[in-house]
Amino acid sequence: MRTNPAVLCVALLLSGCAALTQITDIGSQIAVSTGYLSEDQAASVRKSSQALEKAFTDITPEQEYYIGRAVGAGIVTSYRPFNAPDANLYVNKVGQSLARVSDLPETFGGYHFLILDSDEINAFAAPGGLIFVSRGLIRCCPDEDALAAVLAHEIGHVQAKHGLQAIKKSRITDALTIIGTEGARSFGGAELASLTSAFEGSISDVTATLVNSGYSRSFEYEADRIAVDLLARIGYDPAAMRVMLEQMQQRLTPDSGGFGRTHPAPADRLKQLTSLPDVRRVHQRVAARQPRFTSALGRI
Amino acid sequence: MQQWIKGAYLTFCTVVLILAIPAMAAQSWQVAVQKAAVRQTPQVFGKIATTVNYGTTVEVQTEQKGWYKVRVGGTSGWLHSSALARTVAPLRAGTQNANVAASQEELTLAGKGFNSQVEDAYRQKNRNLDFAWIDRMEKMTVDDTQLQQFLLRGDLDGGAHAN
Repeated sequence: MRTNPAVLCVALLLSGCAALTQITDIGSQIAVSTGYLSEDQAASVRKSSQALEKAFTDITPEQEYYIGRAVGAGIVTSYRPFNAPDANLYVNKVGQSLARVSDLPETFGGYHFLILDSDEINAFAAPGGLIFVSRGLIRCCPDEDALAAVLAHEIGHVQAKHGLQAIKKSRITDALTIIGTEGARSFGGAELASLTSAFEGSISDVTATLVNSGYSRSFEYEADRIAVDLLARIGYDPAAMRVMLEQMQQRLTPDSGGFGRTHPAPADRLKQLTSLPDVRRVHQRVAARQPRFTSALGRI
Repeated sequence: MQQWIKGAYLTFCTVVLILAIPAMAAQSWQVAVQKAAVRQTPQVFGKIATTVNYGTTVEVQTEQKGWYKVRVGGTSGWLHSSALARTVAPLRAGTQNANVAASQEELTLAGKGFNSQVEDAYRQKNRNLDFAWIDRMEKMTVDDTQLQQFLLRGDLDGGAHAN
């Protein structure tokens, strides 16, 4: 039995689209009948197709929104918000400008940004676009472009749906089973209890990843690459990402919580970006942006 | 012989995909976010033709770099693909082509899963959680005019970006 990678690739590519699962089935049946795939391989193709259908992509923007709200509520309960309307408005202007030019400009409830009253160097992106950044991390930003780099990195996590991918697939399967129950227009007691349990589990999965374990290095590097791209799209200097990471490297101590625990070291993140010439060049501060940055965040 | 079969399979898949593209363009899709702007041009700060709410059915005409040209309620314009889904709510019989928002009942049904009812139950069990700040945060919005002024004064060119 020969395994033809081209056939497998095509079948798996097709399997990425839920609507084409049936085609995958037909294709794999043909491949089996002609000896191109073994029954096991064909089953694997079909299983991959079903797994992709039932993975985090089944979470609709509306459900992502409710997950994000609950994750966010946990964050603002642990880290108190920085109640400074002008500073928060300014951060929202920078962040929402960047979100507009992202590949995911529309989310169910939109992008919103909030400063956390914490010296810890930290930031969180809850699913759906609720983004939190600590005063400690803002202090790593000497100008608006560097702040934009921080916010663009968090938008990158939202765009790539990294938060949702932290949710165990079993939770989604449980929820889908309950949702699939026909008849009721709203949940009965048992249904609601089961679904709330799946919801709690999902919130716990995302929060544990954001606050304690952190994403995988590959997710962090992906968010950095998205961030550099977003900066360039809107006219910020991508080199500001390097400046921000260098500042962070200086301020993080071995026993730092926050990014010190959940993110790769800034030096490692920089290494991943060194292939990008725009990041390596000398950062040029734009005079037009500095007064508003200083006015809003100068005393942060 | 095996080469022939492999070729036939790949051709079959390609033909199905090609046939699927025009079929997709002709379909009615639904707005998957709370509120979205239909713009006169496929640009992030294109002039707003109208706004549409969650569940509104739009007729998708063409696609261009992540934007869909849509027709809704007699108005044509562009919606970013991230604002649309094939379906967020089951349509009632006979309303397949009607450009109407789905009924509240349909939205409730479609929103089964993690919805406001589940959030309420979650909040009952976790009364210490501060949802009030999340509500305040969601009110922190910046409209098109404010954002464009911000970009202009900051010597930024996001408004010209076509994505």
